[in-house]
Amino acid sequence: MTNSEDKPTQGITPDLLGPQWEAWAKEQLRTAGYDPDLGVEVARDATRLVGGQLSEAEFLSKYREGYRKEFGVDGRTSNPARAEEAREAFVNKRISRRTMLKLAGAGIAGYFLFPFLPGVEARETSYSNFQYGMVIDLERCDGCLDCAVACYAHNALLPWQHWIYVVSYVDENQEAPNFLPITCQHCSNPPCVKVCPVEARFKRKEDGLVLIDFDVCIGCKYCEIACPFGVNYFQWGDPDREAPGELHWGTRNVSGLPPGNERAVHVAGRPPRSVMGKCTWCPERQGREDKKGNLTCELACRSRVFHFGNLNDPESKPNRYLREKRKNGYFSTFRLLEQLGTGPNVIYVGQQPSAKAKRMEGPVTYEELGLVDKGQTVLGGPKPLWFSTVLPSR
Amino acid sequence: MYKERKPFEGHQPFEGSQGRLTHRWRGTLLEVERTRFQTKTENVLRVMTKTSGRFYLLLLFALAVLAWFLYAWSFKLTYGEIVLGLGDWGPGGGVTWGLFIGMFIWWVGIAHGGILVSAAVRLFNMKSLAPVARIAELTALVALVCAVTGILMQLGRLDRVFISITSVLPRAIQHSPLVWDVTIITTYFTLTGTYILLTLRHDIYVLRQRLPRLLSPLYRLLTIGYEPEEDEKVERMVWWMALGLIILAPLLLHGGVIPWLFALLPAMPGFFGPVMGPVFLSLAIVSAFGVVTVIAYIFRRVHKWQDVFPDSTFAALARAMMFSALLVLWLQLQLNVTGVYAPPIGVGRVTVAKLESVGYWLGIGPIAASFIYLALQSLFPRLFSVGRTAVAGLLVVLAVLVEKTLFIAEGLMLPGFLLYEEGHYFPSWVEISGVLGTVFIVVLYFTVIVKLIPVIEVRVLEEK
Repeated sequence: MTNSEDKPTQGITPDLLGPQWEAWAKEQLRTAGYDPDLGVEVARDATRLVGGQLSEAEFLSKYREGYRKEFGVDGRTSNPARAEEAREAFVNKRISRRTMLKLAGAGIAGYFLFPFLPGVEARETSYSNFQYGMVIDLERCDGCLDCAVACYAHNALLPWQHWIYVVSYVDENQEAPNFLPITCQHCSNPPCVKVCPVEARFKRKEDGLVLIDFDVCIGCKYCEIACPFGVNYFQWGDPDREAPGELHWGTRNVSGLPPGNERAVHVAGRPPRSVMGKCTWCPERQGREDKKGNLTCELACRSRVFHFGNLNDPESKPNRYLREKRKNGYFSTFRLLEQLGTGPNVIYVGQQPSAKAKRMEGPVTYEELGLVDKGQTVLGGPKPLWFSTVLPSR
Repeated sequence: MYKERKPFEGHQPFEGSQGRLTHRWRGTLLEVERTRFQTKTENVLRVMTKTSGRFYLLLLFALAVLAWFLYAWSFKLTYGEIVLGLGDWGPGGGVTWGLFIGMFIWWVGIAHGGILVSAAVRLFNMKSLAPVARIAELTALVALVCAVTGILMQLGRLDRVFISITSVLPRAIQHSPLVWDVTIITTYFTLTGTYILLTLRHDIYVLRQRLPRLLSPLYRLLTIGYEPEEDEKVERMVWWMALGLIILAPLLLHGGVIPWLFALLPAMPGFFGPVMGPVFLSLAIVSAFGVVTVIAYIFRRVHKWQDVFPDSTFAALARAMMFSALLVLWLQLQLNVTGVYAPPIGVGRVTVAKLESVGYWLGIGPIAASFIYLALQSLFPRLFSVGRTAVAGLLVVLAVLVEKTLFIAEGLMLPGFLLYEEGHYFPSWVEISGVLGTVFIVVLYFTVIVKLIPVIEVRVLEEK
């Protein structure tokens, strides 16, 4: 049986696909509506592939682009039998301990280094230079606590959760009380974000707000320990009323992706039980053109103490206010605990309290407003819990 | 493996003196079998095979306390963290972390100190402490479990804790000390477990004929794949692991990541201090020696193990405890001198408040008292008493818990932001039940484990 006809595949040569065949094939393909040149070329190479003159990998790669362009997809797959062969060749090879250790080491290194890769970082920096901030004019504040009440109502807080807290104090050689409203400072270099083990606390890139993803927070309270301003309020028990549904949502960029990949997250309003909460600078009021740049405390204030806006924009509310103030001559500003390097984004206009400053009762007290509860009084120290009932009253 | 294999050379069964089938061990007959080995080993094996009614009583009691502990935990889960004595620092005037975190550092210190004891015994071949080496290792393992329990109890959302491992670990490990902590404690737990298992396999194999038959599946599991030839290799491995642990535990863990959880934060002057690593480490070591002394003393009393844990072991423990207590006092002196003489405002305020509080002296006082007694005891040998040494150990252990909790609470009571009122904290019954629960986890663990495995190495028992 040495007849030449029995030799497989060698019998078909490109000669059989000569000029006459080509003309016929092109005619057929043209009526079908596809690129005739590609079809002819593929047919020729297919015979070479079958004849063993062309490897499968070469064949697949040679026409990948052409196929994609012509048909949108490349539906050809490699020979499953060959793939199996290759897989077995790899798997059955004994991997030495050294190789295994190298692979494991490279895997672990890759796992931890991935976020450092230049490509990943580079894409994230393309947000605009936007940082919400606030100018608080201490000279205008009269300690009426309207801001605190408005915040309490708007965010459905519990009485002891002072997301905005007005400290009244007297300083050295002074008799009149001073007032210092403290909110979250939405730092540029926030320690609370750094210490969070689950990245629930994040600094929103598009507007610089420091927020908590309530659906991720594990309630370890480390952010509260790391914050130098004492503005975090844990949800120790059940929150007593529902915040309006709209308040619950904000956006967060999906890590490592460019702008436009935001997803809706639970960041605004009071947090659910066992999760950390703090002043959010009302993200539900930001981000829409008609609402942009308003805070509840700012709107509630009768004395125009708060001026909220983009600190990096010279025409924003806070910057315009500072310019206006500068025209009047005497002018002193400070930021809280600036020496710690957290980069707070609240600029206070007025005199910084000295180390000798002493707390005192303001014209309106938190007790009068009923904003004191659960083992806590604002002045005169907290009530010990030990002998009172430990069961929540609700 | 525990189950009988084909006998091979150097491992020939023969009839022992008491008509019991014993074995040649690596070519040599265990000569000690008929002398000291027998009595000490018998003493340990007696506890494993014979069980009195008192054992079941203690078991029941420990389980009852643990049931209470679980009730307290479920109470917390039902009502939220509001049932703890904690609150928000700042205008809230509360303390955000309290007894649970103090307890966490306490247990983790005992774990780190425990492994240091064991590793030092192995590296420097310390004869007098060798009988307590395995107890120290076993303490380290259970103390880590208790430490993690402390963390889990204070977490608000226990159900989400895996987020930290599954999705964000590679990013968060670059900045969050808490993630460093979780990572390194996991590493440490794995190392300690491996370390114990490696040395245990040999002992179980040697004693396998005399261990309780009922537990043979456990021994089969523990000695899976065991071959006597591995001993020589394991001995070297364990030596290197001991070296690794002795570097890891003091430098990276209790002198590193654990104090860094606090000392790196900008907010609290009470947490700040360049010597915080050594301060933590000294307290860890002294509390570990204390715990090992107490456990060894209880075993000696209950199981009549006077020969297993001789007076010389307690004398060595007392000396070690004395020197580590001295280190504690010296480092406290460092903190207090620098904190009182012309310090930064916040640091000065915390130091003065600390020195004026009763709690601080409840923490440091017993350590000082124990140091004085132990020093006198080592100067005048006729003062030596095993019981009093154990009392000194217990005092030290309790004092460290007080000191740790106070470190956390006082740090948060006196923040760097001077306009806020001083905070207030007293632990609630749930928190106290948590501490009690972890203590009884250890009680239950040692009550049971002494019945399961030899808690003293055969290598030590067979020494003349």
